[in-house]
Order: sequence, then C-alpha cells, then structure tokens
Amino acid sequence: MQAQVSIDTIWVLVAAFLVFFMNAGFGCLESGFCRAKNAVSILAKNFIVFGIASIAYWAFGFGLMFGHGNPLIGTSGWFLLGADNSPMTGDAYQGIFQSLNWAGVPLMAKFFFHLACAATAASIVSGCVAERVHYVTFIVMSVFITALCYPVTGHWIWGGGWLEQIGMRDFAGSAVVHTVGGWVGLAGILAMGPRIGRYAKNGRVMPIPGHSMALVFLGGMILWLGWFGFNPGRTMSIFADNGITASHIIVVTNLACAAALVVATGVSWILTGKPDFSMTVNGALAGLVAVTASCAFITPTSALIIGALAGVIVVFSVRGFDWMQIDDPVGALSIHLVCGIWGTLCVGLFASTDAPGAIGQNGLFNGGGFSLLGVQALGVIAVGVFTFLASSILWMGLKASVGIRVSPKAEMDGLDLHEMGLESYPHERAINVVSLLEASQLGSYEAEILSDKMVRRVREEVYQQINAKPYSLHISGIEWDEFLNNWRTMCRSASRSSSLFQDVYERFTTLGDKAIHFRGGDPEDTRQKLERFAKDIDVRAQVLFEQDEESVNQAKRVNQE
Amino acid sequence: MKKVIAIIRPERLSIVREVLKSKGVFLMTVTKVRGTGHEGSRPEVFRGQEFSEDMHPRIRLDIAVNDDFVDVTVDAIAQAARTGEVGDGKIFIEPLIDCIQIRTGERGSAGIGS
Repeated sequence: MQAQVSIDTIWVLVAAFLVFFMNAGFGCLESGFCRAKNAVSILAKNFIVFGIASIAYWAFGFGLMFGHGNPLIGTSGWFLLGADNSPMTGDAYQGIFQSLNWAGVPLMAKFFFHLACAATAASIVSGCVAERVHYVTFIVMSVFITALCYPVTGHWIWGGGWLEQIGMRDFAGSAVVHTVGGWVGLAGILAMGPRIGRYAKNGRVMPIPGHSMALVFLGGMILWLGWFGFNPGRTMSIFADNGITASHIIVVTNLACAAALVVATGVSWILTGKPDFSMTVNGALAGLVAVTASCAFITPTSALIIGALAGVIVVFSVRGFDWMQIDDPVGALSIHLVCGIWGTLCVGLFASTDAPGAIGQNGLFNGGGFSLLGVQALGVIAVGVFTFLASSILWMGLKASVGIRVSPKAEMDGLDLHEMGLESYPHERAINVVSLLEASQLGSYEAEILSDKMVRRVREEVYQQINAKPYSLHISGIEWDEFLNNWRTMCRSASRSSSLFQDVYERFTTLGDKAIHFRGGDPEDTRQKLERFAKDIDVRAQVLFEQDEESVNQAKRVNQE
Repeated sequence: MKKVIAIIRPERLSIVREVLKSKGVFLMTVTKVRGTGHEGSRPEVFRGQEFSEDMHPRIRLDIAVNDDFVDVTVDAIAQAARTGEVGDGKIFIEPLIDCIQIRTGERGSAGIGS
C-alpha cells in the first residue's frame, strides 16, 4: 500500500510538472507567432497567469470544482481546508473531496495536478487576445477563469456534477480545459475586435507574420512534451495496473498528434502550395487537444483517425475564422475551441470497451449507438453556453469600465513600449519597416481607425495642400531675426498653440528669405492670419504676396518713409 | 538632379509614401535608422532599474529626383511628416552628380526614371 501511494504520487507530481511546463510552451509559441513589438507583453501574460492561478485556484477554484456540494457547484473546501483522509480511496475515503476519492494520492498531489490544468485554460485566452489586450484586463480575466468560470464547468464534468451524473466523459479535459479557454477567448475577441490592419476594408485578410519561427518550434515541442503529462497524469495511478493505462494513453496521444501534424501539413501544402510550418505546429496541437477527452477510452487506430481529422479541421477552421473576420493571432480558437469540441464528441464516436481505461460503453462507430454521443454533445453545448455567456458579461463589463483594448497608438507602436515599458529586443527596435509598408497599402483603412487627430488631419488636408498651387508670403516692417525667434518658439509647441498660428503652421512648407512658402488654404486668409501673428510681435509688420513685386516695393517705400 | 534624404517618424512613412506617389515620385530607398535630436529621452525599466533610451527610431528615405521635382518632393514630405512635436525629422538635399539605372544602363535624368 505504502509503495503504491509513493509511486503513484511521484507519477502524478511528475505529470503535473510537465503540465506546468506547458506554460513555457504557450509563452514561446504565442510570442513567436506575434510581432516582436509585443513579445514582452505576451511573455509576461504567460508568466503571471500561473501566479494568479496558484492563488485563485487554491483559494476558491479547487473547492468550487471538487468540493462537496450540489450538482451545479462545489460548496466546500475553500483554501484546501476541510476533512480529508487521502490517500485513502473508495469507501475508505472520508472527506469533502468525494469526487476525487478514486485517486490514491495525497490531496496536495491531486490539487497540484489540477492547478496546472487550470492555469492551462487561462493561458489559452492569452493567445486569443494577444497584441491588443490591456495587461490588467488579462489579469482580471485570469482570476475570473481560475477562480470561477473554469471550476464551475469543471465541477459539472469532473467534480461529480450533473454532466458527470448523466454519463458525460472527458478524460483529460478537451471540454473542461480546452473549450473553456477557447470560449473565453472567443468572447474576448468578439468584444475587442481585430488587430489594426488585419482586415482591409474590402475584406482582404492581411497577413501579420510572427517574429520568430524558432520560438514557435520550441513552444510546439514543449507543449507536445507537456501533453505526455497532461493526458496520462489524469490516471493518478501507475502502480496498480503496472502502468498499462498510462503507457496506452501516451502512445495514443502521440499517435493523434503525429497524424494531425502530418495531415495539417499536407492539407496546407495542397491549399497554398507550400508546407506551411506554422500550420504543422498548429496541427500537432490540434491533434493533441482532440485526443485529450478520449485518450483512455480508445484504441490506437481510433486515435490516428481522430488526429488526422483534427489536422483537416484545424486548417479549415483557421481560414473560417479569418473569413468571419474573427482575428485569432495564434490559432488558439481553431486548436482549443474547435478541436476541443471535436475531441469531446470523439468520446461518443470512438469509445471502445477494449481500451484499458474503458468506460464500459462503446461509441457510435463501435456499435454503441447514439446515446453516449448525445450526452457528449449536450456537455459541449452546456459548457459553451455557460462559459461564453459568463465571460461575455465580464468582457463587456470590463470594456465599459476600465477598457479592454489598448489605444490605437499603443497598438501601432507595440504593447511592450506602452504597457510594459520594456522591449524584448531593444537593439533591434520594434519598428518593422516591412509591416509599415504593408500598412501603407491599406489606404484609408488605417487612418480611419486611428483616432489620432493629427493623423486624420494629415490624410484629409495633406492631399489638398500638396495639390494646391504654392505661394509665398513676404514679411517686412519687422526684423527677420526677431520674427524667426518668435516663429521657433511657436513651433516648439505648435499643436498646443492658438488656432491662428495653427492654421498658418499647417499650410506652410518651408521658410525662405524673409518669406514663408505655403501650399493649400485660402492664400488671402493665410496672409491675414500671418499678418496678425506678425503684428503681435511688432505692430509695424506687413505681410504681402511675394509674387506681387509692385506691392512689395510699395511696402518697402512705406517702410523707408 | 538632386538627392533628397528625409529622416521621418516611422508612423508617418505610409502617408509620406502615399502623397509622394500621388505626385509622381515612386522610387525611393527606405531604411530603418536611429538617431538623436532635440527630443528628450524615453524612460524604460528593466529588472527594477530605470534607464533612458535617447536614440530614437526613425525612417530614412533616399530619393533621387530631377530638379523640377525637388520642390514638390520637399513640400510633400514636409507637410506629410509634420506633427508639430519635437522630433519630426529633417530633410537634406544634396547635388547628385550622376545616376545610372543598372538594368538599362541609362544615365542622368533618364537613369532616375519615374
């Protein structure tokens, strides 16, 4: 007994470490898929999320999810307090975490593993709202997810809630973890809209390439490794059956991943003519998410099919979201939401009584009929409706109060400079000429979004000005140097100066010899305004059109007199 | 022939380019540059330590133009790149001794093309 508990505990802890490390995977993957100017923002989100989850899930989440309660929520076990005699199992277990009485490991091991899973759900949201979300908004959302949203639906499926009672099965969390993260992310994307420049006015999708495929590679590999803890870790035991179930799950998980990444590569190769590496990585993750719910209940052959179909689904899903102008910078919706739903339904399709972790029920394709599939579908809908509605309310509430999206200027300059005050690559300044050139092809779209007054002025008036005939105004009756000193002072704070000066300032191009060259505006109006400005300096000042030599000479004569 | 070199704010590149294009100035070389001017330094923080960054990112445009295009090029850049804040940049004009289009071998004004 003692050896069994020790070995199982080691197993659960090692698996939890792997799941914990998935945060590194998400951080690398997401920052690699996004632009260098937002890298610190994304990395910071993926780092702080585990800190938030550790506190929020310990204080409220775990009790809400697994504590003794009713079919809707757990109502005990806050701060991990309450009766518990783990690692006793079954009828010998006495305590408030009845829903985990099948696991023969200490309470703290159960908690740590599930904490790592909860943080994963919150990490998914980070990818969806990347490159435009306020840091503080994401922090609030992380608290909401790990303390409230994720534990409620988790209780329904894993904590003895109503969905578990009617027979819904989700072994390692396609629905519990991945679709929850996906739904919150979708609600967030809908609330805040696409990144500037993502969709041109004519509906064309403008690619915004990530800044480091090396990071994407590393992130993808880390996540793949992490899944070897995420899926088999939920067995919470390795001793009793000599590790048969856990090993089975690892092979099945790997097979689905392999099939998905190969198929996703192939499909995008056919569609685009190139073996899109970013889609290979997305495909691998899609396969891993899809097999998560059913990994203990299916045969390896089924895993291959599930993964292969996930590889097809993810490619078309990415295109579909872009077609709907739902801007998902890293493909998180296609992977976690769409393939999470697919994976949850796969339990009802592919479950087999031959598998080592069998649930005693066959899926549709193994002659089990539609009943299990129906329950799984109900579970998908229930989780979706609750999570989407609850998180939408919070997103909208935050939008109306503190705001969820950074200013257009901050988005153009990068969140790192504006939100974080720190850049990821200070020597390789985050201004990307290539993307600026792309943005310049967007025409008026960019300017329409930018509410910056000066930019709007530039677009509307510069064209008008530059197409107007140039004219020059000559200044006399005043010392040119004196005028110049005043002019310089005014230019220093041009945008804050009087409207009189601003009108002059906006029309001028360059200074000449005791003259100012202009384009645009009504010349006579400009002349009067400039004269008023000059008369403020010296009442004797006179401003005349330079072309008009006679009047210039006349002015000179007047001055001499 | 003149060479117009303009140092402008990165975010003004798109509008400057658009306006130049509308005036028939299509050909230019764009470079990422950094420099310092009258602007103050921007505070940044790294591991609790504040430091300031006073080399600001700018875009450099190199445009070879025929003499009759100089004024319109300068005016377009000046008006489109001006925000009124310190750090709007500079425009330099240099005489251009010759210009050769590599592909066709044309020299002088013809080499500048349009």
